[in-house]
Parts: sequence; structure tokens; C-alpha cells
Amino acid sequence: MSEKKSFMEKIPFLGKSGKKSFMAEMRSGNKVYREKVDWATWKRRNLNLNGLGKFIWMILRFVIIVGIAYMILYPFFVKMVVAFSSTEDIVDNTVMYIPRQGSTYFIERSMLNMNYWTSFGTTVLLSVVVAVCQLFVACVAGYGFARFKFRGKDLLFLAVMLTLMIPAQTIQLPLYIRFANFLGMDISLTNTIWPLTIMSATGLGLKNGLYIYLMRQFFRGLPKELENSAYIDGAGFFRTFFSIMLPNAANMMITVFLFAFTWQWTDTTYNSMLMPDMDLLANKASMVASSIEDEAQIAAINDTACLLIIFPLLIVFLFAQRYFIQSIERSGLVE
Amino acid sequence: MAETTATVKAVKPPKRPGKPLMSLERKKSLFGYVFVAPILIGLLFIYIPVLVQSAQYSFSSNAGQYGKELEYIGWQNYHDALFVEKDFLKTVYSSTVALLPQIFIILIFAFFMANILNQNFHGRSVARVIFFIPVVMSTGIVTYFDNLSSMTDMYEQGEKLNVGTETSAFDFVEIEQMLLSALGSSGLSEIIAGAIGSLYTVITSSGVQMLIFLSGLQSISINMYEAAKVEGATGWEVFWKISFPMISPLILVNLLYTVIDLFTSIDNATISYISRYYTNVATYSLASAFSWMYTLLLLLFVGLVFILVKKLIVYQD
Repeated sequence: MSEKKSFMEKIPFLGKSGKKSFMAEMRSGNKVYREKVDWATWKRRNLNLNGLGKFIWMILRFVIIVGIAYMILYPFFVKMVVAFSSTEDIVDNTVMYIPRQGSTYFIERSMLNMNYWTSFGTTVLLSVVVAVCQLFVACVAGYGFARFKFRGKDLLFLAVMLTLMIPAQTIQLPLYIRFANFLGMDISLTNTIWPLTIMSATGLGLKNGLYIYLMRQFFRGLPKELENSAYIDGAGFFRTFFSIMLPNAANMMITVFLFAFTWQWTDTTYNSMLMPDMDLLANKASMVASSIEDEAQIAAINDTACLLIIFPLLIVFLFAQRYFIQSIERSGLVE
Repeated sequence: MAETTATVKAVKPPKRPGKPLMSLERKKSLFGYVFVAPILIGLLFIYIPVLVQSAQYSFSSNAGQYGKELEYIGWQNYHDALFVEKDFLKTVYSSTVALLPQIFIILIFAFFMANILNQNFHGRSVARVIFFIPVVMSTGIVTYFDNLSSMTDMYEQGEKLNVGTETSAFDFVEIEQMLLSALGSSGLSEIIAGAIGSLYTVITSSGVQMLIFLSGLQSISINMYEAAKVEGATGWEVFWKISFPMISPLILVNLLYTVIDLFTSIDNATISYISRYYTNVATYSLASAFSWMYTLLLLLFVGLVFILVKKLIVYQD
């Protein structure tokens, strides 16, 4: 290295070599170490081919992330705009993102057509009950599969995976019959929340197999010493499970609950099979625009209804996302 | 020698009268059944009987009478499904072929995005939250709404007058056409153009896969990366020699999940074809035969994928 001063070093601000005014970041795993370095060091470290590559990648990554985030958020945004537009706004080409007149006509109309608050209440009840049942089964069975050895375990696990693979349409008819005449007692459970509650409590609910798999993988990733020390202290299997294992799985449980809750909320498969006449948001959605003739208004009503259905989910997600992201960071899904 | 045996005997716990002592292993296996009991009950009392009944329907006529007047007619329904209703096989074939490239596109996209979200950058937590919105939002009824005419399409096209054109949001049709005309229409370019054309669908249906990949990447020990850095490995080498093999088991998991998700989802062409037959009482038996044939094909396909890919995986112990 020659001692000749470079052009940059002649500029007073960047100035004399040795003045530490540049931030250098060292990364090791997820930890970031920062130190101040002088211009010469910074230049040597960053202004090379490797640094150029990093810079280009940074730009590219930014473009990709912003682009995809835009694609995800844009439909929500448009739906929001449409929901607050008036009937004139939606056919006016000069109105784009700010409704000129603005009204809550579409919101009121969709709410009326969906019988919103009744449907909302039923949907909340159904989703919560189903999600709690599915979460319970997923935890218990996931733990059973992860930590116990018993005869037929692999076969049973295969069966659980098969319930995930076999399309619901294959069992649609006998399932309906079974619940229409429950236990041969001439009691019809269809169009109540019972069929799905029973199915969720026995691990047959919507995508239940996936939740069982996720919980199993999570419990497998926990160190065995956790339980062994509890056993040595004299705790039984249940006590160990409830007071040692479950608290450790809190984030994962919130994730599974979030999945179960939101997927049940928007589900159409089992809803249309077992409870087609119930006041559920997903059931009401298909006929929300049935009494309307004008095509633009149909589109606007559909958008508003869709927004009204998923808006509660968005709020739930925003509350739960912290635990959800944490669960990703600690789950250790690798076998 | 004799002395030691004697001491061991003395230490042995006295047998409680009447109740044989259960070993921890025995006890553990018994409690295993307790923990999986809900599933066992569900399978034995609901799922398996229902499956058997469904199979019965597919071999009988009059399934529409709620199983009261079943008449055994052998393979007739299957024969009809294969040779009379010619659309069925065509639908299965065309929907499967259409989905094959999508499986790989979703996997590659999910893997790529998981790697990006695993890097350090400003606003990473916000990006993660936004990227996982489709996981919880774009299912069931939302997919249904996506296929309806929506104002979003009109905003996309920049004008509100072409109301009622039923394209889902962000179809990138123009870009797809442009690429096709630029690259010519060979097989590969069609796949690439198709992938870009259906980018929105890919984004919305790769959420769970992204989640699984991301958690896999998170669980790789930092020590490995540090060791590689000390040895002077480049980022490219680190990716192929560490990240990729370490999460290869999850590639299988995600591959299977993607296949199952795409092939059993309610907007799968075959599934909606079968569902249509379930809306008519007269064709219930036929619909049962359809769904059984499709189920068996799907299981065969999943099994094949599992066996083929399992060999390529690195398991660490």
C-alpha cells in the first residue's frame, strides 16, 4: 500500500485517515457488531467486487420485497377504497384511490345481505371452538407421537397423514349421513356446530393432520432432559406434559391456533357439506350480491363482503404475529 | 462372586402382592395410547366407517337415498366413470399436468423467499408480517372471491369500464404474452411465462411452505456458518454446502404438502368436477366412484413422490 493520499482523503470532511467516522457492520449469525472505522479501512473492506455484489443484491432484495409486499397489500387497499366509495364513485374513471363522494352504502348493503352480526357471532363461536379442539388434539397427539413408543405408532401416524391426503369430497356423503342421523338415534346434528366440534376433537377437522405434524416436530425438537428431570422429581406423564412441555410450546401453540382459527373462518369445504344453512360468513358470502343487477355494484359488493369477512382475521393476525414470528424462529422443524 | 449376587438380590425391591410392577417402558407405551386416544377414537368410530361406507356407495346404485336402498352393482360405477363419462379422465389429466410445473415453482419461490427473509436487513420484521398475511388470508372463501369479478381487476387495468372481466388480481397477462412472443413458445419458456403470469397465485399459495423453510433455516446452528466463514467459503458455497443440505428434509415435507394442498383444494379442477356430481342426487354413486378413483390416484402419486425424493435427502443425526 502506498502512502500517497487518495482523492477522497483530500476532502476535509472525510479527511485525514485515522478519523473514525464510518460505521462498519460485522455479522455473525443473527448478531450484528458495529464499530467505527476510518475511511481507508471502510474503503478497503467495502469498495471491492464483493462489496459491489452485496450492494447489487441489496438493491435487488429491496425491489423484490417491496414488489411482493405491494402485490399482497394492494388488493386489500383497493377493497378498502371500494368499501368507502359511493355508487357513483365506482363507475367514475376519474376517481381512483380517494372516493370523491364517499359513502358507507356498500358496507351497509353487504352487512345486510350477509346478516353480518349474526353470522359474525356464529362464525366466531364455531372458529374458536374448532380451533381450541384442534389445538388440544394437536398438542396431545403431537406429544404422543413425538415422545412415546408404542405398538402401531407409525401406522397410526400414517393414518393421520392419510386423513390429510384423502379429499374431503370422498367422505362427503357418508359423513353427512352419519351426522344427520347421529349414532342411529334419529338426532340430526347437521346445521349445528356439533359435527365440526366432534370432528376437531377427534383429530379429523380441517387440516388437522398438518397441525398434529407441526406439534410433533416441535416436541421432537425439545431436549429430552426437560422431561427427564421432571420425571426424576416425581412428576407423572400428564403433569410433565401440562406444566413442562406445554409452556415451552406456547409460541407454536399460538401459531397452530392462528392457523386453525383463520382457516376454519374462511373454510368452505366442511361448511357447505355439514352446515349449509347455518348463518356463517363463509356460507353467506356466495349470495351476497345475488339481488343486485348492476355489474360494477356486484363487483363492489363482493369486494366489500370479502373485506368484511377477512378484516377481523387481519386484526387477530396483527395481534398474534409476534408470537407467530417467534415460533418460526425457535421451532426447529428439521427432523 | 457369590457375595455380589447376594447383595444384588438384597437390593431388589420386594414384589408388591397382587400387583405386578410395571416397567417405565411399559408405562410409557401405555401412556402413549392415552395421548393419541382422541385420534384413535376418531379414526375407529368416524373416519374408517365413513371411508368404508363411501367405498360401498361407489359399488352400489341409489346412494342418493342416504344409504337406505343400496343396491350392489359391482364395478358398474367405475366402468361408467372410465368409459361413459369421458370428461372425467380428461379433467384429471389436464388438471394434473397444469399443476405439475406449479408445484416446483411454489417450492422454489418459497425456498428463495425464506432465504431472503432469513437475512438481516432493515424492516425485516415488517416484511415477515406482510409476507405471512397470505398464509392466513388467502384460503377458502377469499380464493372464491378472487375468482369473482372484483374492482381490483378494474384498478389493475386502469379503468373501471371493463366491468365483469373475470380475471383474478395481478394476472400479469401482458407480461406473459410479451415473454412468450420474445422467447418463442418452447416448453420451458411457456412454463416460465406461466409462472410469471400466475405470480399472485404462487405468492398466496406458498405461505405455509415459506414458513416451514424459514423455521428450518432458523434452526441451523450458527457455528456451522462461522466455521465455513473461517475456512473462507463464499456465500454461494455456504448456501449449497450448508443451507441446502441442512434443510433438504423439509424439501420433501414441503413437496408433499404442496402436492396435497394443490390436489385437494376446492379450486382444483378435478375436485370441482367431482363436487358438481355431488350436487345431483341421481349421480351420488357415480360421484363416489369418481372420488375414490381420484383418491387412489392421488395416494399413488404422493407415494411415488415420497419414495423418489426420500433418496435424495440428507438426514443428520
